[in-house]
Amino acid sequence: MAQIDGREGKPLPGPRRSQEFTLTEYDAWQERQRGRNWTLNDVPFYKGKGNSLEQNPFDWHNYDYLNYYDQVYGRKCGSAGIGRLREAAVTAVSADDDYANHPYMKEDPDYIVRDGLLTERKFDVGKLRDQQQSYAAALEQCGVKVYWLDYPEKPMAAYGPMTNQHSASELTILPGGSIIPKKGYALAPLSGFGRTEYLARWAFWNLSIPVLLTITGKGVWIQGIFLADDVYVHAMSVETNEEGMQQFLPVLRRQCGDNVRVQRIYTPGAGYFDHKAGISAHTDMIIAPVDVDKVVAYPAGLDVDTCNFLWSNGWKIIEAPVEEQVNACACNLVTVEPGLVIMHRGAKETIKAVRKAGVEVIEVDYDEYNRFGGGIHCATMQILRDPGPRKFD
Amino acid sequence: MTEIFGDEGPALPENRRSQSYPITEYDEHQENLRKKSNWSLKDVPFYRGKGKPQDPLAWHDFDYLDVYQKVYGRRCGSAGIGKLREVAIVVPGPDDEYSNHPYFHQDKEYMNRDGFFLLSDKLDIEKLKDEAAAFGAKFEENGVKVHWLRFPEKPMAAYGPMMNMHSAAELMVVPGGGIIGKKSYALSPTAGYGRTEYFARWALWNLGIPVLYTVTGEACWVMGNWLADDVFINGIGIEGDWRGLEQVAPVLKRACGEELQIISCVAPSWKYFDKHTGANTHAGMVVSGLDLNKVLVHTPGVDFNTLAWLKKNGYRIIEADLEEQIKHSAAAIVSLGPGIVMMHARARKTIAAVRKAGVEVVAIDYDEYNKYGAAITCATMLLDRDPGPRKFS
Repeated sequence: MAQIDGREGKPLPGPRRSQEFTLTEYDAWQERQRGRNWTLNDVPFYKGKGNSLEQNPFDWHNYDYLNYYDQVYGRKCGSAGIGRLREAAVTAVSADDDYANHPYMKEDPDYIVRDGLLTERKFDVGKLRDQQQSYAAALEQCGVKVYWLDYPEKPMAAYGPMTNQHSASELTILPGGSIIPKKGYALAPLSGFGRTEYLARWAFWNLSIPVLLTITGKGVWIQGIFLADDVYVHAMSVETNEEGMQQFLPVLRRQCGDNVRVQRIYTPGAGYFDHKAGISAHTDMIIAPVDVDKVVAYPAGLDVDTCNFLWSNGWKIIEAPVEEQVNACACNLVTVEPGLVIMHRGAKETIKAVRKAGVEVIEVDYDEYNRFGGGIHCATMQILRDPGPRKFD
Repeated sequence: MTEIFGDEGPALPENRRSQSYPITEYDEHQENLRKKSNWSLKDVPFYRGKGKPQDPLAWHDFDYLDVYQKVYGRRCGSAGIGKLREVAIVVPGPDDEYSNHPYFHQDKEYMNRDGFFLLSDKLDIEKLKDEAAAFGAKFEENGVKVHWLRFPEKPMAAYGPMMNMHSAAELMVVPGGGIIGKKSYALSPTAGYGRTEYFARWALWNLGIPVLYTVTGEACWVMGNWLADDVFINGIGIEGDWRGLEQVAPVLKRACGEELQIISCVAPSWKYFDKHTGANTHAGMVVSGLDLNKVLVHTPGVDFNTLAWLKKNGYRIIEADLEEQIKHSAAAIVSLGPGIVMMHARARKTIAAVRKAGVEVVAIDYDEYNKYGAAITCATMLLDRDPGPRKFS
C-alpha cells in the first residue's frame, strides 16, 4: 500500500513544523478517562438491566451538544461575555512579525498600508516581544492561564508570506468551540487567509477546542464583542457583511442562548482603521465592556442606533478621546472580569475616566503593536471565561 | 510563566497518543510555499497595480472555495459520484472487539437494542484486519489513495470505552471541509460521542481538511449519500432529524452549490437496523448511486416519496435482495466513479442485478464487519473525488 502509517515523508526541522504540544489536552483527557471504572450507569438515559422496553430510543434527540462536548474533548471552552477570564493564548513574537521585511511592503508600501493598519513602516520586534511578555505576565497575575502560541518560522498565507501573526483574537471561541472567520479586507492578502486557520488547527489539536463553524461562500465575518453574557455587538463593515452574519447568528444562539441580544453597529468608513478620525471596521477597536452597564466607546465610530441602544438600556458610556483612539487604540482593552480591565498605558485620559467610573485598571505598555493598528484585545485569544452577568434576564 | 511552550506534561507512549503524521500535509504545503522565492503582489487577487486605486470591497465577492486550497494545501470533498481519488480507513485493533466491552457484559440486551451486532456475539479481529487490508488494496488497485487511520489504544468516548472505531464514513467531507455530525441513537454511548470528533481532529491536523461545521444544539444528523454532484439523499430517522438537516443544508449548499437538491429519505421504525426487513436509518445503507441515472435501493427502507421522486426523475432502480441486505448490507456500496462501484462480494444476487444494469462491480469480502451491522460504506471516509456528473444542472 502507498500509505501505511500516515508516514507521508520525513519530518521537517522543529522550527518549520506547526506547534504540537508534547502532550495534547485531548490525549491527556483520554488517558484520565481510561483509568475510570465505567458502567452503564455512566450513560445518560440508561434505565437499568431488563428494562429494554423502557429505553426510549428518542431520548438522545433532545440531548444538547453543550451537555457532552467537554466529555468528548476533555475541557470546557468559550469566552462569550464578561465573566472572569480564565484562559487565554498569545503569540510568541518572532522575526517574521517585522512587516518591513515583507516583500509586498517593499514592492508597494502604499497598497499594504491602504487599510490603515500601519502607522510607521518600521517595527521593533525586540520591543514587541518584551511588551508581549509583560502583557502575558499581567494576565497571569490576574489568574489567567496563558498559552504561548508559536508559528513555524516563515509562516505562509494563501497569497504569500504571512504577517501580523500577532492577532490571536481572530479565532472566536464560544461555549463548545471556535469560529473560523473569513476576512474581507484588512490584511486579506497577508494574513487574512491562513492566520485564523492556523489558530483553529492549533487550538483543535493542542487544546482540544473543536471548530463549530467556518464562514464560507461569500460570507465575510470577523468577531464582535460581548458587553454581557446576553449582549453581543458586531461591526457591520468592510470586514463583515450580512451573509457572514447570517451564517454566524444561528451558531451564536445555539451556543449562547436564544435570548442573546445582537446589536449591529453600522460603522462609518470603508477601511480597517482611519488614523486621523479613529474610526474602524473592527468592533474591538470602537467599544469594550469594562463592567456591568459600563463601556468604553469611541462614539464617532458607532452608529446612532447603537448609541441609542446603549443609552436607552442604561449603559454608562466612557468616551475615548480622539488622540488616544488614534494613537493608543484606547477601546482595545481586555476585560478580566466585571470591574477589572487591562488597558494600554498610552490611553491616559481614558484610563483616568475608567477609574473614575469605579473600574480597576491594570496598565500595560503595548505601543509597539499599537503602531500596527492593533492592541491587546486583538492579540488575545480568549479561550475560557466563567459565566458572567447578564443584562436582560 | 506557568506555560511556556505548550508542554502540558510528559509525552504519552506512542500507542496512547493520537495519530500524528511526522510531516502533516499542512506543514508540507507551508514548506512548498516557502520555496517560492519571488512572491509578488501579482499573486494577490484584486491587486490592480502600484499607484492604482484599489477596490475595498473586492474581497466580498471572493468565495471560500476559491481560497481554501491555498490555505490548507489540498483539495477535499466527496460530494457526488465523480472518480474517487482519496479515502481513509481505520486500522482495526483489539479495541474493536465489542464482546470485550464492559457494557456488553453488563447488559447485552441494551447494547443490542439498536440492531448492531447482527450476526454474532463475537468479532474475529484478525479476519477484520485482513479484510480491511484487502479493502485498502482494492482501492489502490483502482487508483484511490488510502490513508490508514489509527486510534490510540483503548480510545475513550464521552461515556466510556469507545468501540466500532471502524466507521470512518461518519466524518462527511464535502468541498472545502468536513462536517461533524451529532449521533442520537446507534452506539451513542460507546462511539456516538467521540468517534467523529477524533476523525475531524485527525483530518484537520494530518491532512489539512478543515471543519466546516459541527452540528450542535439538540439536533441530530449523520451523513447521507450522493446520487450525483447535485443530488444528496439525507436520512431522516432515529439518527437524523429535521433540525439537523436545517443546520447542515446551508453548509452543503454553500459547498456544493445553491442548486443542490436535498432529498429526505424518511426511515421506517426507530431502529438503526431491522434484522428482519433490512431497513436502516442511515441513508447510505438503503440508497446508493450507481451511475448518473441508476440507483441501488432497498425498498423496505425507503419511503414512498423518495421512491416516487426517483421514478419521476428517470432513475432506473435496481433492487437489493432482501436476504443479502440483511446479511451483507447489499445496498451499501462505495462509488468509485460513474458506472463503477465496490460491493460486498457475498451480495451475489444484487451484484448480478447491478452488473446486468451495465454497472461495473468490484467485489470485496467484508463480512466480518457486516456482523457489526455495518458495511464498506460505513468503513470509508471519502476524502476526495473529481467533479462528477450532475443530474439537473
